[in-house]
Amino acid sequence: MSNGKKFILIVDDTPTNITVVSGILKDQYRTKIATNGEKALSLAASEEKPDLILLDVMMPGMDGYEVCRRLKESPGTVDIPVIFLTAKTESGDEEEGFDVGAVDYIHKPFSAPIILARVRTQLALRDALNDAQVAQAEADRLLHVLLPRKVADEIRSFGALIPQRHENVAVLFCDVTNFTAHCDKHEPEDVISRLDALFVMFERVTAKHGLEKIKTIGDGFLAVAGLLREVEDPLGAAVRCGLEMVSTLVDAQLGWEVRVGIHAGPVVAGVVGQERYQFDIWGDTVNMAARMMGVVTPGGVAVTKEIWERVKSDFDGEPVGVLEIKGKGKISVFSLGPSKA
Amino acid sequence: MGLDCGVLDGAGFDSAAGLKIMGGKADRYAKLLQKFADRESGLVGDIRAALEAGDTPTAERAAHSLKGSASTLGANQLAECAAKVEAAIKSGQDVDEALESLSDSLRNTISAIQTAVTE
Repeated sequence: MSNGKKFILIVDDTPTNITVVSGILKDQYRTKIATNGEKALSLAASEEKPDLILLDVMMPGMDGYEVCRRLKESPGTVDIPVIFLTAKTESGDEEEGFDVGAVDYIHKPFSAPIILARVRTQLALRDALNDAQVAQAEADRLLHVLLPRKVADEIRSFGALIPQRHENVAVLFCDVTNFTAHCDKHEPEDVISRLDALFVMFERVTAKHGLEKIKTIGDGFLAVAGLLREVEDPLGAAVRCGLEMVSTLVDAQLGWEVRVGIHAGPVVAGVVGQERYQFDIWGDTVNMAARMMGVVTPGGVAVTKEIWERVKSDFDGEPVGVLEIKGKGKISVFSLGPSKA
Repeated sequence: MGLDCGVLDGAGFDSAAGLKIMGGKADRYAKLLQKFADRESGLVGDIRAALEAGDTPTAERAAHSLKGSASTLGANQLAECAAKVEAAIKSGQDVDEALESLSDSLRNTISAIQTAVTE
């Protein structure tokens, strides 16, 4: 039983020192003894790893420096703090101790308060380091939830993301056509759990086709192809993704219908905000994709004639008509059908 | 178990330091001294034997360990003699002379412990 006490491994071949050091530590810590280097390495690598090792230098067989060196070479024991406890008192000895990875060096004859204080300090440092690593891992996890991995990694490494223009990006917008009416008639828990299920499905479909989710906006979902991840045919991937999103929703019988707008061209990507990071994309390509989504009937995937010309060899489609598009004037719009393949 | 610290101090001990490291517990200190005396009485002979066999690392390590144990127990004079033997072995000079001093000091230390510690 550990009783919550920290575990200290004492490595020394001299019975007097073992008795004295054990006596000093036993009230506050659990201790185990190794009387040679080989036994110390074996105990350090065992399932119950010591929280700290007090290590003598001169021992028969493997000396303390070599033990420490091997502890620091092994991934399983590299993090265990080692304090040398030795009668080797020349400054060169101490330097060698630190060179091989020790965190402290206590000379014999030692005093109980010094041993206890040094041990306590190193254990507190280890705890603080562990806490910091856990907090860092949690921060990284959150950053990766909020931002695409490549963006999160760049922010972590450099503290910022340099905004960039990307030339050939396919932008996909979709939304739930009768969501507002549904909200008014159903309990919030029901609405949110359905929307969550829908967006999880969208995330799966976008990932399957190599698209990256940018964000959700209310009942809308924005994804791109060919931005952070290289995709061979961004536009084709976006169209296949849009068609699957529409049909999957029907299959899922959620009672909603979605509509999708797709456009392709240059976008600017970057991160805005400091309190809450938001990775986003801007530009005419994004606006046009949103406009296409706005004009298509529920269950449809709409593109401009320009985009239709680029995909018509691979997909079925039919003209919707020449429509007045806000801020763009009259534009010929096409609704896409299943892949010809 | 009784302990006469005056006897120890007369034989080159700093018994106050030894007691301090034992948390002021005279009984524990006395027990440890007695074990030390039982265990280390043949140490000079062991060092000589190692040197005669050409095994200087073992001889040096034995002197080094004695230095550490003695200093832990507050047996400062003995620790100094052991340190001189360790240095002499390392340098290969004046080893016999240093060993002679160590032998005398160890004998005095053990004798003082046997007198100072009473059942």
